[in-house]
Amino acid sequence: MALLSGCVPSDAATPPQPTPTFVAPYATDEEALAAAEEAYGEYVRVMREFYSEVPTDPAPIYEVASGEHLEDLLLEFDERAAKETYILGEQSFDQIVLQRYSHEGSTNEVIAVYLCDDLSGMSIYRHGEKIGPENPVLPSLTQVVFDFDENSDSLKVSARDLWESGSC
Amino acid sequence: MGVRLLLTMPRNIAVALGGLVLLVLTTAAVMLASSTAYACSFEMQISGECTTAVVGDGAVDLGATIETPASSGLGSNDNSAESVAVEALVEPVESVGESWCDLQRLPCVPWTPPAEVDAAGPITMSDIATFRPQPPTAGMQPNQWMVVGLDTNFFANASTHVVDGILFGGTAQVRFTPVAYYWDYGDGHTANLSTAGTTWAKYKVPEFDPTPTSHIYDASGNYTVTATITYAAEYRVAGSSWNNVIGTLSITAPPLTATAGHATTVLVDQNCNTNPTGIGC
Repeated sequence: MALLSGCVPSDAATPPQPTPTFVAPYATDEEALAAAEEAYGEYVRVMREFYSEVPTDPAPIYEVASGEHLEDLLLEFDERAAKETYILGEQSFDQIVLQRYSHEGSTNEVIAVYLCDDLSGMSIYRHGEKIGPENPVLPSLTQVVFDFDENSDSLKVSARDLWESGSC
Repeated sequence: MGVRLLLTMPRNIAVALGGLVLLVLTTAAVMLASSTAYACSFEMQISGECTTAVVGDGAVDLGATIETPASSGLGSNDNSAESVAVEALVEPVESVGESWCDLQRLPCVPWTPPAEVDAAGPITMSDIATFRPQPPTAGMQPNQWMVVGLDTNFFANASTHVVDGILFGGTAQVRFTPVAYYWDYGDGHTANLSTAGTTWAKYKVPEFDPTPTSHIYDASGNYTVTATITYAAEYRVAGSSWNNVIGTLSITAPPLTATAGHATTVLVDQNCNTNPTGIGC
């Protein structure tokens, strides 16, 4: 008695592999807003430190910014390095409200918020001499958009736009 | 139904639906969709150099009725705004504080009220006509000139982005995604491309190397180059998942004008950058 064995080609097609879909790690709008507030706080801290002397290394910017905003900051970095200006003082923000939260789909523009950004305590210097501002800076209503960076598992500012000048 | 939106300026709208169109922009839609927000560096902001892009004397409420005849389909360069009639109703100035309050009443959380689109059937481009995508731009290398016989690198600046607005009386979001790039190189040649392209530096190739979006001119002269970007769109309401919008939207970027000329290679004695008076420089 002989035994036969072998492989039989199967007509069954390999099922398509599911495409990984990004899902933001915030279950509710409140969680998203809290994460955005924390991320912007970190952004303010890093930027204040970054601006406090004539910049020589743009590396800190990459930690808190992405997309077009990162490109804008890098351009600004080049300009400020050339002009040898730096900024000292306190920056704060409040009145943060959620504009939108995109829970899944893309890591871009995951969260957008409105907030009141206060740069009134900041001044511009060059070679130890204060060169600005000439007039008091009023807190500004600002729209901030965040991308989610899966590498660092954190939010990064991808847009920071003034909505309207004046006090808020 | 396909909709063609031609932009000659950011605020200049021409919508073609195959006939005379009466487009009414709602107050909230205009306020949300128009780019009242603008980027400004920290230093400029502190210096007080950032200005506000508000309408008129600072009003935040705008009603508009725009009539425009239809234009032809894709490829038309009819960007004329001569036949566009615009009536703008500008209300008195509101205080910044009131504006801030207005903004907080807009589609912050909770969304009020969400659009009821289920009963309206499939959503088409005409339904989202008041959601204005960010206008794309076109770029080229070298900037505004070409060398005959060598590759000129063209690229479009267009990316996926989300626009807030009003759909069927409720708050909604529309996500625009560029899917095709039509180039008219102005020399009789055109190209339909699936990539936006980018700079030589980002491709990490030397200047004048071919790229997926480069083009070679055969003759010297002045050329007008036009890029038309086609967007697909999705919409969502009240935190729902994204749903496809039927049709696509094509937007023509401001044209590039450039001059093509011949280049000659010569032997030089030294580096002309460091010694411009060297032999052959």
